[in-house]
Amino acid sequence: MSALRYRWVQALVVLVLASLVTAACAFAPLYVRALDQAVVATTVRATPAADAGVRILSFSTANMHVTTDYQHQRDLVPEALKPALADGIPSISVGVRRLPLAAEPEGSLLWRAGLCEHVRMTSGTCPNSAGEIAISADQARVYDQAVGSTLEVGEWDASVSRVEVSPQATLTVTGIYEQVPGDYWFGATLTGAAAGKLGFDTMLTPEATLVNAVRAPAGGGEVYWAEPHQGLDLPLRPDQVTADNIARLGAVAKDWIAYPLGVSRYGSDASDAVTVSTSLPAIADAAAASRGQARVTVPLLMAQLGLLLCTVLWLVLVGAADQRRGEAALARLRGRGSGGVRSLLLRETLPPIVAGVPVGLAAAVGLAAGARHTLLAPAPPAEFPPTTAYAALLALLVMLALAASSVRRVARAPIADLLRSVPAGRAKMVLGLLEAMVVAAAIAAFVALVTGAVRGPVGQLAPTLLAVAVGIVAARVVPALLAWLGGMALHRGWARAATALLHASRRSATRWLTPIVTVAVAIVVLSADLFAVGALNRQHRAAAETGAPTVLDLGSRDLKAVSDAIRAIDPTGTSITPVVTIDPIGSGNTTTIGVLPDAFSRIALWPGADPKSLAWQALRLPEQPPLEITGTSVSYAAKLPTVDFTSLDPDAQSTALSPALQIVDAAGATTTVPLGAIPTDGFQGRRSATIPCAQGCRVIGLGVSAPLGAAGMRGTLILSDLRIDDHPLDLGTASTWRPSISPEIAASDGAPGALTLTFANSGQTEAFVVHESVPQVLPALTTAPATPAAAGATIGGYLVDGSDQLLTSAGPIAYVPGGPARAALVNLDSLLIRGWSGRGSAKLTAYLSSSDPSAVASVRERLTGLGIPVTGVRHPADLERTFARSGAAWSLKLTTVVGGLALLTCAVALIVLIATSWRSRSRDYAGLRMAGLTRRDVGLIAMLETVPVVLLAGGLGLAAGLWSAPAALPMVPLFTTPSAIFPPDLRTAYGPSLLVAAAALVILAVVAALASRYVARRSRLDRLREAA
Amino acid sequence: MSTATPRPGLGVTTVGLVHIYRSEGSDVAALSGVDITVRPGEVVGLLGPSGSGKSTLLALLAGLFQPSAGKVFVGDRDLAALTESELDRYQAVDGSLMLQGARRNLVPYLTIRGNVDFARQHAAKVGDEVPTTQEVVDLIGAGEIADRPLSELSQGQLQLGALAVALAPGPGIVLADEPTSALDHAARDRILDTLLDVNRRSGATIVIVTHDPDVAARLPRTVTIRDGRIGGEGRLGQEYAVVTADGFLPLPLHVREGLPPGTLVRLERDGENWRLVPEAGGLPGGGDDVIQ
Repeated sequence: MSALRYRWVQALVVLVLASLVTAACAFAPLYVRALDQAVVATTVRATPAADAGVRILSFSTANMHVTTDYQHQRDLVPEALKPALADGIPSISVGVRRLPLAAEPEGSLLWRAGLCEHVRMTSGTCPNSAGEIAISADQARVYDQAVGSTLEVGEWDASVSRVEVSPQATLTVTGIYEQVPGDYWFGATLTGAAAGKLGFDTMLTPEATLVNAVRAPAGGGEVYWAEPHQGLDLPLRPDQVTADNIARLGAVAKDWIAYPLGVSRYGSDASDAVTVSTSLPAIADAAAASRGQARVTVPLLMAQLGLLLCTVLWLVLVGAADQRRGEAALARLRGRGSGGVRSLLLRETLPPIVAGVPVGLAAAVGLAAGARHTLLAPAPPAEFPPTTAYAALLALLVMLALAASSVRRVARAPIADLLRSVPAGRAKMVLGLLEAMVVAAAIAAFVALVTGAVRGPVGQLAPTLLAVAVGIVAARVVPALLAWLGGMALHRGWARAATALLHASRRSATRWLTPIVTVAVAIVVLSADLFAVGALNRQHRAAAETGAPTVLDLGSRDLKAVSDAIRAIDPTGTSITPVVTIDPIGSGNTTTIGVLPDAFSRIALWPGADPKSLAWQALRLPEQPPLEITGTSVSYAAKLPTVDFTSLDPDAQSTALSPALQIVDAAGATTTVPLGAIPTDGFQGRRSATIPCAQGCRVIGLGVSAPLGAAGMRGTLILSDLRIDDHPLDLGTASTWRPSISPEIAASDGAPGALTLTFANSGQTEAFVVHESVPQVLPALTTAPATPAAAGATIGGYLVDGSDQLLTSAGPIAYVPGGPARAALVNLDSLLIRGWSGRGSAKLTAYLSSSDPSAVASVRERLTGLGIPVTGVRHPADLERTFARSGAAWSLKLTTVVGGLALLTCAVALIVLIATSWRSRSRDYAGLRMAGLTRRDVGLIAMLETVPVVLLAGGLGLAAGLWSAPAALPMVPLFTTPSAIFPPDLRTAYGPSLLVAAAALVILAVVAALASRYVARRSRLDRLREAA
Repeated sequence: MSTATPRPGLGVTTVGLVHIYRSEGSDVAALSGVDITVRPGEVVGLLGPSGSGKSTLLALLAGLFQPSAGKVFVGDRDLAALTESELDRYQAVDGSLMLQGARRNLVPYLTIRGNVDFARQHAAKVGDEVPTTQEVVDLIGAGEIADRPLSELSQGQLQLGALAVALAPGPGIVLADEPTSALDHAARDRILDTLLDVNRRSGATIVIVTHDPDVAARLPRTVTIRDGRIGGEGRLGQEYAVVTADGFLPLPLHVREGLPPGTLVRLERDGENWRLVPEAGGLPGGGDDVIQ
């Protein structure tokens, strides 16, 4: 104890380093465990309740009796899953259509247990008797259904779609409901269809409505609903899902889902009777992926720190042993052998090492607690996995080995050597055998990492090993360089600089300090680069996948209305632009995305891409202006010579045909308007007809319409003097009309003002020439997956209404901001020529150039005012936050801890190195004082002796870090799942790395300067007497 | 007084002792054939200028080095022939070296009592009867300072502590390297008195390396080492030249001053005495000076 008290600073340093080594080892399993729990909790929380939970659904299109009712569905849940699932919410639904069944709106009746508690009745009451329903406000408004009114419905489903077999019911509206959002609904949205006049919204009703008998069709007594959908939604209990059981839950759920549940109970006719859906397997997979990633990144980072800490600890232990050479000599002089000396030395270093283990463990637990509450917030539960104790034990064993190794040289030295004060000598340039082996091994490991030949522990250590190699070589080169510089300075008469450099070149501390600083700075740089690259990738990916600083999801499917509204708000397209995304019907097909090129290129976010380099000019609109008409009547002169029929059957030969216009009305619907029947046996005269174009129409086709079932006919129709509401309409020349091949029809010029249509309809009812304002093939910028192999080949695209539109690749695009991987970017205006409103899968959004809340609110308000509801607001920051709450990101956050500890360790090592050499330093400085130098001069020399070495070694560390970072980065997972559109950008983040390195160097230089000045201040003259 | 039986003093005999070490690429002969005999219980001072080899001789006697050539006998031991454990035992018990500089002999964080304990522990362990710590402290009269931290002790007190440590195992021979250097007269005399007292009381042989003529004057026998050889010997104030085993006779300094290198001398028998007769001008028959 007296020895420890005598060298308490050294004991304290050893204790601190031992606790840091232990903490570094023990922290990794603690953090990984906390991260595991956080990943599971976050993944569960981030998964919508409907996906995280289990949904059991049973119905049969073949036989309602094979449907498993909800009371028995609970029995199907595997025992292993039951503890993780809350009580189920049963439900029954039936698809209905308003009577008569023909073209009336359809919807569904739904009962869910306790539904009245999850809706707000804005009018009337929640239904509680059979035959009562509550409807949405939109349905009440659009379909004129007031509270108290009745609604006749018949069942309308896959197996029940004919009036003669459909069970029917008379329903009474008791109230108007408003859905209260919440997990109760399991992701179901009850409304939306009625607002778009697409059908009824979901109608809520008591269970009795759906299980009691209802009216048979045509007054045939009572029947039961034929195809009720029985369901049971079992919400997941997040508190019951942990890192320990998620894999098992996922596996059980996967087996359960995969098994054809119906087959085992009901036979092949009911194989689809029960379906189970849950994202538990996906959650388990995501959690496993995140954990796997954490198990790469965390050890990768901690290994670097552990190596540095062990190196510094060993250095301190060796220094401590060297400090005690005199005591070792005394012990030998008094007859103790090398074993006795070894135990004498270890008695001083082992206690602080052993004491450092519990301190380090406590520090690791504290650090993990801090990380749980800051990096992993909300904090996962505190745990102490057994691996933590094993890690601490491993740390202890390693440190004991280091301690034993550190005293070996002194213990074995002859007494005469121990008694001799070791003179500071200039380091040789030549590496020792051990150093050469370490350098060779480190370089080999690094080369193997760069070439991809190695991963795992060796690969993880490779960046630091490279720094170690650089540091060891530098430890030989730097003193020689300093000596050379010192000689140069001496030659030029710079006495102070020369003295400092020559002193530094001779100090053993320089040889130790160089690799330590090199490795520490390399770790700091590597940590900074990993952190910055991770953050930058999360930011860029979030930007690329969101698309713009703000994206507004619009509750409209009318592209023209949206486009008009946005153009009204921002005519120049500088701050807001519409974007329509039309997903393909089948998987593996191309998504069509319509944008306004100029505005989109300005407003969208393009991380890693240059929008100016894209072939925007290729997204041109047809040169032919659209043919627009406004009015309610049309009249024209027509001449139709006798028509030839392809069939000789007189019954099939139509006696008349009709000229026809194909128009797009104001609502965007494409309609054929017959312009009056003309006899097929020869006609010349005028005809008139009404047209639905009071609000304006766009003529996209001109042709003939024949009765259904008429034989194919061939003829020539000459149209002239066409008038809309008595205003003449110029149909243009034949070149403005594109012929059709099947059915065959083409326009040709005749007399001035007349257009001749030559047709052969092959039995089809309509044949049109298409106006040139309607593009046949739209040019598109296509992403690589969407680009056809053959130049000029067409690809399938879609209009907003879901109809097909051929596209062709007019140029490549790396990705479409906010779009999927397989996308074709077209001019939005070309999607407004026809089919701009409808029932396709189009999603309409508005991209905003600003994320300023007030600007967003303003735009939102104006859009709402123009009849365009905003259903969602997204920012890249939202997605970035999601990315940041993943195992990959959390692992990377550890770089801050590792970088900080590396810097701290290096600073401690600096102080220790300078402190252990203080006696010789202060003696040297006392000598300088004797030679007449002032205290200030000596202080300057002391600083010059250390600070340049720190900066030089730090520069080498910076270079090693920057060099090894690109090799290490591919090993580091940045995201749980790769981006479909944004490839990881693994380029070195030079800015942040250099900035952090500069800060680290400043800190280390200041520490070195302060420690040097402290030693210099102790350079009293009595040091010389003491030396004598 | 000691309850342990005093260990008998150990005699020393060196025969043609040579020690060569390597310095800056060259071989340097620290000792070039030293023949010396010290009787058990004798007190001998080793004198000589810096670099003459006296400390090297002391280190060889302590078993720190193996001689390059020649023999070193301490008691009946040939030090060069000892095994490592035998040498450890010799150093632990019989041959106690007191290093130059008091602090080098002391573990810095222990008191004098603690240091004596430290020094005698191994000796006691190897089975020999060694004096107790208190006996050693009493022997040197350091009771008042035995339990004080070293940082509070004067240089003389520290040197006393160093001496206590050297005496801790009750050695047969004490080898003291400059034990009185850097001390004031009083401290010097106390150290010297203690050494001589120990010699008288325990019979231990004591070999002291010193520069100090006052110290040398108090020693019954001094041996001067010059250029790695025995340069002379003093007994009871009388200086003698010593004929070496190979017949060389190093001349005392004051004689050498009158006989520059290259001088030819004649040795003439004069009864029981020998006369040293230089030849004048370096040629036979040319000189009149006679040295007796």
